Amino acid sequence: MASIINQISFQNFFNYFGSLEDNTYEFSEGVNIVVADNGGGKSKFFNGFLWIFYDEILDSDTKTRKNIKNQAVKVCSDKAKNEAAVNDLIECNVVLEFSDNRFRYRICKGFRIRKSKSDSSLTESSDWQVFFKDLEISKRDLQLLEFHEVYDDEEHKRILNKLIQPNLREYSLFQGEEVDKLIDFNQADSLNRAVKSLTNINKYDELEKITKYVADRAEKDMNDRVASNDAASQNYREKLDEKETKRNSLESEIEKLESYEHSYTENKGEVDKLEGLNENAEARKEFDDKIKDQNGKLKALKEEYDRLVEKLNERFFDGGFGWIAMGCEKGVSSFKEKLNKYREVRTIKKVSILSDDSNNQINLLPPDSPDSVTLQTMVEREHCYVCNREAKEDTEPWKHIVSLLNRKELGQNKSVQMFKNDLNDFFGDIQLGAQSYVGRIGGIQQSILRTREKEQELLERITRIKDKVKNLKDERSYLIIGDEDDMADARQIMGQYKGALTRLQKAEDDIVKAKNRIASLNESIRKDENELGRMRPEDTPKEYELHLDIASDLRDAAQRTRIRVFDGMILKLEKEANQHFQNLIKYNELAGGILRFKKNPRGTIDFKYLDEEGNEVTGASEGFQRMKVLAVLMAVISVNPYGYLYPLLADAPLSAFGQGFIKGFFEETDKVFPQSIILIKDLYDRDSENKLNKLGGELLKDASVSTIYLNQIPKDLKQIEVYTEHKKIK
Amino acid sequence: MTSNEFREVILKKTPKYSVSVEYLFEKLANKQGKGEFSQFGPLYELYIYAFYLGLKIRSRIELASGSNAKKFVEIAGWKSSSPLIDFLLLTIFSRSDEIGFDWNELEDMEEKELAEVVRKVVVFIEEYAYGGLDYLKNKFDSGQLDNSQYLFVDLLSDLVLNKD
Repeated sequence: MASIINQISFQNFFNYFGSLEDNTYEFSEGVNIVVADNGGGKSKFFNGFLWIFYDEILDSDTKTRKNIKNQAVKVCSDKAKNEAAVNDLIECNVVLEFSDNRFRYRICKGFRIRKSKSDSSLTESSDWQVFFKDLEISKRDLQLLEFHEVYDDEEHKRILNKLIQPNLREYSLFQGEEVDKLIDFNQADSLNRAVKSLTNINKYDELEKITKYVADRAEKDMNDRVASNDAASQNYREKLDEKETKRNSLESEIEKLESYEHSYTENKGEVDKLEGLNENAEARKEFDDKIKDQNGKLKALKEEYDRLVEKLNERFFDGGFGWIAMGCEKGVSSFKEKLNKYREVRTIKKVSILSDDSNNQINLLPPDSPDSVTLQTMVEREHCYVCNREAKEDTEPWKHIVSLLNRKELGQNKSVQMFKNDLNDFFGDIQLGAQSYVGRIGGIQQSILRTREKEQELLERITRIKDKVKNLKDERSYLIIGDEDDMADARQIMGQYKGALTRLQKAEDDIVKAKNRIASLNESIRKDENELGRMRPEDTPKEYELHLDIASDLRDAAQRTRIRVFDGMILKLEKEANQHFQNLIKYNELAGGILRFKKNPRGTIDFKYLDEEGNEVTGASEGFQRMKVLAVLMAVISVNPYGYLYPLLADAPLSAFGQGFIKGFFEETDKVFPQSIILIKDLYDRDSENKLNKLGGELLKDASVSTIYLNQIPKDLKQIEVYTEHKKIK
Repeated sequence: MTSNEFREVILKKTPKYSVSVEYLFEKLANKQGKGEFSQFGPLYELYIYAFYLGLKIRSRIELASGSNAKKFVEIAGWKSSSPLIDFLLLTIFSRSDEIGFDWNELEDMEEKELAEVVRKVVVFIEEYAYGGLDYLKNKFDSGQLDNSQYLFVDLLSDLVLNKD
């Protein structure tokens, strides 16, 4: 008979403040539900089970399981610690009672902590002394009233195993996302391990091994017996040796086969894992290339933008922009006026100085007067090019030209001394040098506007490219399932996939070849055995032959049976899994696919999820993924002829998966598990009168649900005052 | 004195600024990296900007003498390879009446007299730059400086356009 948990009680365990009696939950066969909102103590409740089975609790901060020995201060109720006086001992216990068809058992795990100083921190381990108690187990006959303590450690273990067998605990006790890992379809061995743990298929393996051992012994006995007989002919011994050699080859082939099978399993796992990824990898790579290209453009544009903005102020001083000159029109025209005036005054001044010259040698010449080189030529050629007449040497015209030539030279020398400070070039250079600024003054506002437009244009282009990249990434994200994107880039996935596929193919070929060689060796050995049978000396005792015949028959029968049972189990598994799956998702609008189980060359099971056309489905929603796992788990349990003998204890197995899935889950759980205790928030509705939502209300009336508890934390409490109230509403 | 010599005398000068506005150089002109506000690169850019700002708002503030005034880098070091210095000189000499000299008279001055004119030119630069820096300081201190890349463009632009 299955083990049924009758009750669990907590004392000062996390927010289960108070005595065991204050925090007792009674359960019975069938579906039991504890409804609680976030923070309502579901995970703490589940921690009670973890303590009982593993001496662990789940650290909600790190999401990892930790040994309770180091967590005692954290585990003990804050309210209890806060209310304790110095040297007060606080009891912290979890007590679970369960029964089978004969006994009721009580398991208690606990510790006491003592407050060592008045200002003890509620979280500091060194401020508290912790005393762990030994595991206490007691039992009573169902017909009697009193519990008797069990002292024997072995029996402690046996009783705990009776509650849930160690190898089945992972399938019986899980929390939220852990469900997905129960059967990891991406790991070839995961399903097979579940099948081995949850069904009795192992017994057939054992039977096959035992019958083979017996047959081998019978044969050895027989051969030893014959070999010791002098009458055994040389031929017989030779044949026997020949057969032994073949048997050795057979063993070596079997070893090889095992290594091929190992390689097959490993590579199958990798191929399965990478298959979905690879399908997307090609498409993802295309997106990646496009994204890379756009990101390159984006980078260049951003750099251009940054340059523009950062160097904006340089445009005040850069001759190509000259923004500092904005509004300086008046200054420029004032400068020009002053320059003109300066030059006028300067010329007049110059003229007056020249007029004062007594030799009259530095008179200014009229415009277009011949320069000194021309004057020199005119003197030499005795010809005036101004009036185009002869000017013979020593004539008046010739002397006039000579005087002009001499006067110019004198004048040049004289002009140096005309002003103390000659600043004509100073002002001229300023006018010339500032020209690039001056010429731009009128267009500065336009230039600023163009810069703003350029900036705006760059910003728009950046936004457009960002949008493009975002769209590409969005599209690409549809090709990603889970966290696979962390793995590596698409190219690497494609390479890994191809490699694993090649290795898988090779392992498959090797397995087939090895199996053929094994079959051929077996056949050859069988013939040798027949031959040896005929060659045995007359006086070989009949009982040896009979023993060998029977043992060999049994061995062959066990082998055939195992194969038949296994094949039958796969068919049944598939049927059951699909049945459970359809039931689990029946309140969901989307139709699910088909679960397909197939025996692989290694003799274990492969699993596939197919659509109606037989194509493999990848990327189904998380809800469907989890239902798949639950359906297969339920199927594996259902194919067991003895059913399942342990309770299911699950914390938030379907968190946020929608009411349809949850409804299907409760209905189906009832069919498979003799008892289930489900901690769930998805039936909670703060605003409803009975704090249950619509589905919660339905389950309240549903006959297949045995018990419903509602957990609540009183409103507006500080952390140090928190405690959980519970109410049995069914 | 030749034109070149006169130019040299001016460019060798190091105008001063008041220590009361020194922190503006840290906040608004800093090549070391991005700050909260739009920034100038070299310090003299802010100084010249402030000078033109002072002219625009007609704010000329006398510098206190002594340790309150710090020497700035010499004018020759202000973007010497660009037409900036020429434009600066253009601006200064267009205001010769205000500074107190006549272009033509310069040509007849003794060196001592010229040096006095150059001193006045430097004071002219210093006082308008201080006027501009003080304007920025008040805006900065009262949180009126717009945290935008166009801060200095807008500031000057608004003054120019509003005046028109």
